[in-house]
Amino acid sequence: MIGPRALSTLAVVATVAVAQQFTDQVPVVDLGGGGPFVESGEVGSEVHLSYADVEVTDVRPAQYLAPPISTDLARVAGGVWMVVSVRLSATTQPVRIQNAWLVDPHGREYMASTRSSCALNPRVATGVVTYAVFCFDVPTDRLEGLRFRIARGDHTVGRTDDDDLADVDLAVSARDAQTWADTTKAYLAVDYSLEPLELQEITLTETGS
Amino acid sequence: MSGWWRENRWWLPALPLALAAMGAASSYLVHDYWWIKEPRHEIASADQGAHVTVTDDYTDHLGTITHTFQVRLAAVVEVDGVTLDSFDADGPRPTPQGAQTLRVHLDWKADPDQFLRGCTVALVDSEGRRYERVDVNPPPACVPSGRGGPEVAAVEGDVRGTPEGEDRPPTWSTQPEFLVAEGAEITQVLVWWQLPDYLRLDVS
Repeated sequence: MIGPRALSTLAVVATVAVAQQFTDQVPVVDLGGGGPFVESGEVGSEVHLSYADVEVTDVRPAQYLAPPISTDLARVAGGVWMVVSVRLSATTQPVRIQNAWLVDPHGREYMASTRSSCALNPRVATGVVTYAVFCFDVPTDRLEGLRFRIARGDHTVGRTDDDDLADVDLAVSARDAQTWADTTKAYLAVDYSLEPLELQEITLTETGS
Repeated sequence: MSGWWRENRWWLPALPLALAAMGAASSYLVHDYWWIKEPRHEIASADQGAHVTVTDDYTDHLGTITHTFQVRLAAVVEVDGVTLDSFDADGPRPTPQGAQTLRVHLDWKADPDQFLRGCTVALVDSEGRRYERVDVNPPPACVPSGRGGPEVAAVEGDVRGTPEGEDRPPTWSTQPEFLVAEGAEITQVLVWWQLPDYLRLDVS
């Protein structure tokens, strides 16, 4: 009687051990879904997510972004500043947007720049429009075909899974990419507001030091 | 009864219990990531104009305390302009297009030793949309500015107590302000300190 029971116990322990080895080697946790629910759109059209409506209204390049405090030095782009203006409206309750990022046709991602003084994680009010401007520092040879993405889950720690995500084609053509790479424009950086934001082109002056 | 059924007659009824225990062991996820994320547990309610007495638990760094107060929804009125930042010296801004600014008048009564700082007030419209204040530096919604009464111990090292000169009067009023969608019909005012518990005041 003890023999078969010991054998059964051994079989259960062995099965668990083998399964443990298997799950250690194979990412079975990710099998069968887990990705975000991507809602696609284009500039000028609204993308409807379960928690917010999103519309990219403008995309433009810049070489410099000046912080809101006029005595601070302007930030020069390592590549090109991609300045993306967005209208957001929460659907059922206020929502904090954790990330906005760009992705190029090769899958390289560019997070909204923390040194740009533009929007990073705006809090979006319910039923009314929140205007946000996101700024991304993108290599000059990666401008063509960029897409804008935004979600309430934190993309940097994989929390966009199983939730809506807006994916907007910025329609940056090869010709745009060529001219935008050489831009010398400078704008005053803005983040987000319940009042319409207008990008203000500025002229920079040298500090002499 | 065959041999297999007889041999497992105790294990089979134990199986659902084991499954229930397994679910219970993981239930903190439901609590941490769902239950306490939204106002889900109504602790009191009242119609507009009526006082309601509320007793609610509040947990700070030192433990659980209970606060008791009375509140009355006096009115919800539309006003011109909206305060987007109380620290902005320029004052209220014009209400944006497609929106309306509503001011909620709340009358309060409580003993001065009750902990009432740090509440959230929200509006709910007839479509179920929930609005919270948009002022990035809002004044307190449930206690008078500068006279909020006792503070809880938020973090280690804090002590409970009333800062000097901030004793709260026994009755007072607050007027939190909201930006809502134009044409929205507000049906409820919600008040909470720690989710999921909330107080519902119906707008008439």
